[in-house]
Amino acid sequence: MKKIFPIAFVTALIALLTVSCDVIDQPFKGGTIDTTTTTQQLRNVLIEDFTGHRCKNCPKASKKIEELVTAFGSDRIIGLAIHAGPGNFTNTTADYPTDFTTNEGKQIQNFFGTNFLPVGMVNRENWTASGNAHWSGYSNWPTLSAEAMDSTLRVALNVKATLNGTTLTVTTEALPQVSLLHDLKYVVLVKESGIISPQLLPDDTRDPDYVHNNVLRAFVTDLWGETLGTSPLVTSDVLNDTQTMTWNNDWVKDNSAVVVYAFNPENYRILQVVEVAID
Amino acid sequence: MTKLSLSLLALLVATSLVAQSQETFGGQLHGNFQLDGQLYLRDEGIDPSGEFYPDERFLGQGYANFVYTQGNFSGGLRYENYQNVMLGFPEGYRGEGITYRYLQFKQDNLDITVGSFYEQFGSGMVFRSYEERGLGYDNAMDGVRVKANPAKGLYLKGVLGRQRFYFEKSPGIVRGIDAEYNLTEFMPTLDSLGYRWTIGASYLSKYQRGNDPFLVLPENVATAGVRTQFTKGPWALQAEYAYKANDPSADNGYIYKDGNGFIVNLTYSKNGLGLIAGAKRIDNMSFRSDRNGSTIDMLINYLSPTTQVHTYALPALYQYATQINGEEGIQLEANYKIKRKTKLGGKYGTLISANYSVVQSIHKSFVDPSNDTLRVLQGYNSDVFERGDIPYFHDFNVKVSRKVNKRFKYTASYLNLFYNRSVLEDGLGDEAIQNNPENQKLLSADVFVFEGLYKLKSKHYLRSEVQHLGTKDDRGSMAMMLLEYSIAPHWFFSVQDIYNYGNPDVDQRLHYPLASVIYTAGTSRFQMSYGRQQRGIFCVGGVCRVVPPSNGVSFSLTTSF
Repeated sequence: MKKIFPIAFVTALIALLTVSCDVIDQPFKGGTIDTTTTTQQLRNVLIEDFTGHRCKNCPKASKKIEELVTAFGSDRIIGLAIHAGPGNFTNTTADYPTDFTTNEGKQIQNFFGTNFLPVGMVNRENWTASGNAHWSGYSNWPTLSAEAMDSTLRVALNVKATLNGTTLTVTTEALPQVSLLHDLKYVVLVKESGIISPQLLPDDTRDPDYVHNNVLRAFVTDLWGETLGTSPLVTSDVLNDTQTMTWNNDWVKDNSAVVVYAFNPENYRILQVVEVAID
Repeated sequence: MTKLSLSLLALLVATSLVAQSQETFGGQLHGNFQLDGQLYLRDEGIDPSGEFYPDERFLGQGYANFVYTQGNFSGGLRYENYQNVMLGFPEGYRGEGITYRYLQFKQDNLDITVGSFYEQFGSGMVFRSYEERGLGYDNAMDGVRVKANPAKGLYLKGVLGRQRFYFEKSPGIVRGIDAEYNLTEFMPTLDSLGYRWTIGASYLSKYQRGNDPFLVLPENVATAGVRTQFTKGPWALQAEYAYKANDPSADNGYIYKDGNGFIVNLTYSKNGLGLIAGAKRIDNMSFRSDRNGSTIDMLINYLSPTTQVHTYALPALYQYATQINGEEGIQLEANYKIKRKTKLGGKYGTLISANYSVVQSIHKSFVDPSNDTLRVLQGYNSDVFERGDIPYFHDFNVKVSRKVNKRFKYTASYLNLFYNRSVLEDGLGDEAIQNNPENQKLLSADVFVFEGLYKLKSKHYLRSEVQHLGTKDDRGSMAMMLLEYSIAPHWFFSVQDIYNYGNPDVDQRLHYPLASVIYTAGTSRFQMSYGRQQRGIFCVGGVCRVVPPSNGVSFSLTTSF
């Protein structure tokens, strides 16, 4: 009987040694990323980047979004910088005078349950009330984004945003691409880029001329969305809605964009997101 | 509040009356239970903006373990609840459920566990799965463990499973094997000559799917280690070396450099004299079952510290946390007990200890990405024989313990601490510090502690502590006084105050008073405290968590059967 042990041990050791280590000599993937354009809409990615101007590692997260946008295009990867989290990262001081926080951002942060930065959600995948799988670090965003972009598009969105005087009007058309056995809600929000304001950097220095991009400014719809359609939804359905809000003249229109996402209200999973410039 | 405490006391007494192991179906059922809670009070002194004041006002958490054993069989489970997790613990703990359950049986020299288990290979540099409840640390494995003793002196272990990640599992799979050979058991001659000699080797691999659009990620990452332990008379030597293959991760900035680590400890103990000399060097040895993990999540290995852990409140504010991306250090310690009934030793003898530990960065020559012409993402080069130039920590302390007479004994300590706050609190990397060394936030402190224990009368004891931490850095100097009065075996009363009189911010020169009462009955214990807690760092074995400031009433109930 005792002979079993050495035999089993050696067998297990050989199995482990044979299959269990990948030594990579050339870390970069060869070839180029497929960015072929198509008229058919594909599933896009919303990266909600929880950040703060006094969080020194947060610029690494926004840089990761820039890398992904460069690689896949600004129509496929949509960043949203939500300044929310511990006050020592987000509060204003004499050195960091701009208040980027919003009440809605704080509500999102509280609801999804985190209190450290930087951290993010990619299309709000894998949310559960007591779990953490919906949270991810910026180093994981390339993998999660690639997986999300490869997944099936369940609803297509066509959006138009116009600013007339001080009235922002956003019209949305949603087209289910498969049958949906749940209600469909959607959110419209405004974000702004190119805001120059101080930011703490990873080496603990302060950059007074840091350019803040993708900053959440306001929600046009309710924070938790408006209903676009009720279950069941089929591919022949055409769902339309229009939302308006009063434009804040502190925001630079040419640096701003409207983001619209449709989601499953049962698990908050974002099924499609689009970003459009404001006419 | 009075009604609440009386109710809890009644519950405690009732619990203690029935607290005993239970005989069930011919076997034994054991268990333990703990419940902690705190009612938080808004305190603008320690938290002006209210950022640490929880919306829930009251936070509570608890757990209960149940273990059933019968002959060669045992099984158990642990239920945990967090409604919601208390301040300072990892926020990943949300909700409730059975987080640990296992079945174990022993047969034919095999020891088999299925379900949850904790295990360790050697010192843990290759693999350690363990729980440290005070830290909120739990990387329990969920899978299968097999242990065997196939020949005299030979001990084998195999593990396969996934690690706990709060109420979920890590995305990576862990599989490993360990062999330890006790040569003394195999060769009785060694034993007769007074030698004890053990050698061991481990191999472990993790698998995690890689789908990065830019990088070829190693999905299988292996680590291996060898170790030895040798004792002869008063001497003992322990040494372990581990190597880890390329493991790009969030910890190391996604570099493909190999990792390695080496730990050696030499001890001598004879005739009241104890000597310890230890050295450690680790390079890129962060190893997690999720390459994107951070803080204390899903660590596969454990890098033991070579610094002393302090339990006194003021020096404990500046504890060392192991730097998993690289560090090197030494520790020297001497303990000597001066014989009793001598001029220096006094009537009962005197214990003198001195400890010195120092930790710094390893040598790192960073590769400028623009010069990485081979695009191999090695990150940096490190020369083992060259010293790192960033000081992380040092601690020199001496302690004298003496029993003066039958009623009074004391311990007096002096500590000199150096603490690199940029590295240990802010998590700044070596490259950032090398580029801007003048930006480092450093702390030097001298700490004095006097602890006295007085026996007032039978079963009545008074313990006191006076501490002073002198520094011009960080929050400045602090003084502390503590008085504890205990009436064995049931009652314990304590009051303490820390005064941060040297804070550079005059508004933060605050008192941190805390009063506690503990009642013990049998195996049950109820504690209630009221007061302020200042921000700090709580560490166990080189693993640390940040504790935010708080004010309020807390309680704890523990019992076992």
